[in-house]
Amino acid sequence: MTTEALAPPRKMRSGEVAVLLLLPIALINAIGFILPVLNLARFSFNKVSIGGGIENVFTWENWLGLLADRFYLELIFNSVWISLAITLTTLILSYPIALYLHRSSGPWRTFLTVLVISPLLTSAVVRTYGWIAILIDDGPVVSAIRALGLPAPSLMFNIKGVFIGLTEILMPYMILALMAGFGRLDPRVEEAARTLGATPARTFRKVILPLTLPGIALGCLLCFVLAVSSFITPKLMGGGRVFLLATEIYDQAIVTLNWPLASTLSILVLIVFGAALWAYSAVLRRLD
Amino acid sequence: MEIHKTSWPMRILVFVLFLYLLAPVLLVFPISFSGDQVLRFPPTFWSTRWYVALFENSKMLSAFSTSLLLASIVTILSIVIAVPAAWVMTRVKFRGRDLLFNLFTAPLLLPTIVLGLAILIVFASFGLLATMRGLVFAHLVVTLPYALRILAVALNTQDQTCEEAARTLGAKPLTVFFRVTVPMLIPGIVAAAALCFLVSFDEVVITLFLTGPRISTLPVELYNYVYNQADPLVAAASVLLILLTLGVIMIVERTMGLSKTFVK
Amino acid sequence: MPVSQSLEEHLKLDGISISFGPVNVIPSLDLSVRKGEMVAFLGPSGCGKTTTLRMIAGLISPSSGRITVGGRDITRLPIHDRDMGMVFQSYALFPHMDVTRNVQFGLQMRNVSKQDIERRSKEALELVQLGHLAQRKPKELSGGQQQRVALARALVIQPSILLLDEPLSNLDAKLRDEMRLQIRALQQQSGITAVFVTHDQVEALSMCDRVVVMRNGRIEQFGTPTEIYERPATAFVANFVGRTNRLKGKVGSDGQLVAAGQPLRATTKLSPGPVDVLIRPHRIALQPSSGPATTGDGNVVEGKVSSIIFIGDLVQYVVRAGDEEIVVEEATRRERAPLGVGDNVHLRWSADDTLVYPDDGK
Repeated sequence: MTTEALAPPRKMRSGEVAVLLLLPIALINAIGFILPVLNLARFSFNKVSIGGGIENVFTWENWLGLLADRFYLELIFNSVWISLAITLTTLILSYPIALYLHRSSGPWRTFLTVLVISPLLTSAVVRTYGWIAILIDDGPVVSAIRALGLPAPSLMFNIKGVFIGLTEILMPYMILALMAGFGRLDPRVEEAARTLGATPARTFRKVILPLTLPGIALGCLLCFVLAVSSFITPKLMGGGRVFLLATEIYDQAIVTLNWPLASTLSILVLIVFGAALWAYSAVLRRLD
Repeated sequence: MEIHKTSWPMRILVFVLFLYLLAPVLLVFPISFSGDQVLRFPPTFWSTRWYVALFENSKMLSAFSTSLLLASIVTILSIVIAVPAAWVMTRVKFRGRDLLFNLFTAPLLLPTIVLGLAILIVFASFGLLATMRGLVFAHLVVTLPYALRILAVALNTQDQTCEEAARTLGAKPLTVFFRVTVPMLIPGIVAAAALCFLVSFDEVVITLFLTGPRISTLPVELYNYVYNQADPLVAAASVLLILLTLGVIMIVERTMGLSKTFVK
Repeated sequence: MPVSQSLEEHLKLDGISISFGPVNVIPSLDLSVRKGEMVAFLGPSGCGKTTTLRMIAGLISPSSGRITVGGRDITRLPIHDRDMGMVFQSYALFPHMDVTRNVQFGLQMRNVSKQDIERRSKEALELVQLGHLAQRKPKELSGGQQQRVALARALVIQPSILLLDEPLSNLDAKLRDEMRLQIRALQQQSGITAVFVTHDQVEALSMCDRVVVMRNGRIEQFGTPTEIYERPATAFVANFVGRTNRLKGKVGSDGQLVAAGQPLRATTKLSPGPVDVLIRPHRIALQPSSGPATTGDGNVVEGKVSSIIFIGDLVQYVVRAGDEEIVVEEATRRERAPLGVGDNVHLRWSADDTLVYPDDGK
């Protein structure tokens, strides 16, 4: 009803025109997104024949095989666990920056915000390469530790390097999410708490932290989701020795050419996503 | 004001964290001028040999021109497709509009590793693997949601009475669109184009699934290179990539700044 | 004074109605505007005045009813064929075009020859005294200048009707007074039929030949400014246009009006029942009760001054009479010894100024 009344009198033709204008984006969305994702779900029930071809059947083999295989169970468990740890570390490292940015103002704040965003516009390959240069044996970090007379750790081609690199790569997302959440943080609330006699530490714990929890939840969801599906950094810094969900999907798809299994793992990633989203909305509901 | 004065320990902490955040990007600059054969920091001596090596690497050069062409085509198509779509989404009221908008922007929510595999399987049967057409199409899946979102926001915040004024002055719908709506949308178009270009130019995960020996993009070539060896060549390429990104951002700032002086 | 105003009917709304979703914004509206006159749509926000204007412009279409201009039905005509000049509240100047291009836009749409476009746009800009700013962009102009560009842009196409949607509401008070005169002068010079939407009674009364007072999508009264002010058709109109004292009253079965505890005279025909009695504050004369208590055909009510508010040109006396408070306004004069709080006074006004309406329960 509203449509009729508000639309201009040329209503009769505008419907057809609208369909025509939406057609290209709808086609690309359908062929490049909806069809592939539905097909992916279907593929997770296919299987690879002895000859290497793909049989169009309906079998739970991939799913059951996944749950029975110790390697994959560990892979899933490790991916989720490491992603959670990375998320937590990212949060701890990002919070001071976000709080500082929230409290700064003027051109200084603009400048720092640009610094935070600029890594986002830099290719993940470039940033991962930078970390390789830093963490490589004989690199600046290892040399510095050795100079202190401590035993030199190996930081490359294992989970430690992946952990350090991914944490940094995800920090801009976390900082931006936190800053969005800090919008609720009115400086006068802090002042009020302080004038009422709260120490800075207590003010933080009782006032600042609770008010910024929604931003924290959003940032954690974002970082966890990105960590679980990250591929470039684990692949390049893991040196083939770090196995995570995303790298396994790629290997199965490109190296082993087992598309049904790769599809199954992909759907599994989406299920983990769903769980994270569910946890996020549960947290938000409790906060309200 | 007193309360918010940041203490010195906090400032030092924030400085160290910023250093951590920017370290990998900052480090590639000195490394790119390394004279060493292998990746080492600090380099034992300085030279521009890796820039020379980069420009003599035909694989990298052809990947770079492929990326440039790909990103340009994708950017133009994204704008041409997304501007009319965003117009419909903001100017025509119909049932299910929000749902459709969410569907059109949904590809952004899907992890690229999953989207890449999904597109790989479908494209394989269409014969689109390792073709320019396939790459353009796949990149559009990712860039269109960005373009649509930016342009829809721009169209929503634009003063719509200007369009009404044009209509009362006798302009037909198409004339209103090209003489009023689009000129007023220029800042949004520039922003959307810049983002589409950067996203397409930097895209690596989905592209990895779709490229092959016949056709490859610069990020994919860099990925392959780093995967196989670690020497300062990639640092030189990285510096150029960062400068390119900065260039695009500055063009946007200029155009947006300039257009801001013209608009409003 | 209007130069020449024919009685020829120009714009006619015939049973126009519109609903937004379940809300029936305008149930049914009839209106007829004469050629060359300027009519104000006056009413509080949400009364449907802007909606009606937008229906005339074609920006929205009525659910039912007919709109005709000069006898031609335009109800289903697309906007761009309607030949209306509209001035928007926000002016809606095209930000990417300079002043000249803004003014020329409508002419270009009409395929006017290049020379004529140049000439007419120049004339239009001279008309609003903006010839010297022709190359400026809208954002380089002040609010008043933007307003005049919008006016020139609407007038240059010589539309059959000029529509003005709260054109003065974004200007400061002083500029508004200036623009009121200028818009009225331009309208009378060109002899164009104009519809003017406003919520400001001063604008409506001072600028327009006739005023439509609207409430809740209905016309409360349609008449000349004098009629609206002197003979408001309803209590709402009396309250909305000008200031009033509102007394609770009653008409007895004998036809006698009683309010503020006293019998009053009025010239309105009265039917028994509860009524609202409205008296304009400046139509009441105030005298110390010690003075001569002249009688006549008017009303005299005794009261006591309870407070005095000095506003500059005016002094407001709040007078307690019975259980009512009556406000009296007087122009400030030097020679008259002011009354003080607590003084006993006589309030005096004529029967013609006693406006009586059946109690509408509000």
